[in-house]
Amino acid sequence: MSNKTTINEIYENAPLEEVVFEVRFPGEPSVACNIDKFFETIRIKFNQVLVTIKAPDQLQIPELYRFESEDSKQGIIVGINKVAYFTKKYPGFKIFKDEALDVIQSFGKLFKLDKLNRTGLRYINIIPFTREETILPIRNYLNIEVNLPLISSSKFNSLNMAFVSKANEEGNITTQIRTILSQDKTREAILLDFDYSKDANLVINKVNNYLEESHGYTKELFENIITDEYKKFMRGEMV
Amino acid sequence: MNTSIIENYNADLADRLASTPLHYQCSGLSAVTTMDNIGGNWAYRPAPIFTIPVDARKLLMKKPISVKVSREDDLFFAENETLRLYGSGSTHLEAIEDFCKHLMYFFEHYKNTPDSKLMGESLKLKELYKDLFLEE
Repeated sequence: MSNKTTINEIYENAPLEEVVFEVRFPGEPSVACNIDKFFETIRIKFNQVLVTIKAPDQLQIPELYRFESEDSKQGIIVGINKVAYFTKKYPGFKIFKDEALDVIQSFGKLFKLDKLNRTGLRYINIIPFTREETILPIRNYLNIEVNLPLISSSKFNSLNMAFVSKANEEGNITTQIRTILSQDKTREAILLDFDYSKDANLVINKVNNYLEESHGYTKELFENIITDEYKKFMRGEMV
Repeated sequence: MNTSIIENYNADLADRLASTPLHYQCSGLSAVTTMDNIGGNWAYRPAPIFTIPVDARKLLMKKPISVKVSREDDLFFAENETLRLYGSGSTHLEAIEDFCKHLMYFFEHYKNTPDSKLMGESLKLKELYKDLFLEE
């Protein structure tokens, strides 16, 4: 990691679209039978009930339900081996942590969870960009460099990369960086998606620590991957 | 630049990602899906301009210029209210290119117009335009 100082800033024009904290545990069929009891604990805030439909060829264990707030900006996803809290209007880490832990701990208590398989904190950013002639000016936005013989990231037209890497001794980071197109195909953006995960020796009563650790790493990653130039725009220092 | 060219870039990438040579299979991570229902509101956010192409050079901005692009029927409009500047085109990119041409026009205009010939808002705009670029 870079030696740049971690900066705790709230940005006026943050590109953050969604934040998800997910916990996976050994399959627990009682979740399917008692989901109504969990719903009773969250009904006031998350009263929209949605059922996820997966394509027949998808091998993942399906999510059972998605409970959303009325404005669909926050919600909870539940399956027999996972529970996740997501928000599309990130209120800052402290409030997000309180809300996420409230959900996870309440769920964990109801279904008597103990050991966990994985925790993951995921930030999904969308950065609209303007092409410079045909070139994707990636280095105006992100501090990434790809240099192959005769090929450089300063000449990319499009980009799609995804990788999983060891973050530190404790966790892994799954990163996706790619160009995306709006539905009406008129606007382009860079999707910057990273997910810090832990998958060894996890227990439910330490989930607070896991979330703090995940946030610390992803925050520093974000601050270092965004260029100083784009940070000016994020801070509102623009014409 | 035609947006179908951009679609072609993305289609080429998708094609490469979807295909694996016969007798092989993808190992580890082959695709990372995001939350399925991220909304499309990002498409209405302004995007910054950091450089302006002029002849064979690129002029660097001191601060990014925020450009909001909207669409009305078949026309796209790129605008920045602070600079009182607009561009239009039949595609998003053409509107941005038009915007940049107007930006350079007014930059040169204010550079070459003495203060004595300007008043009120024009003087304020001249100050804004004067301070746009890091170097010429």
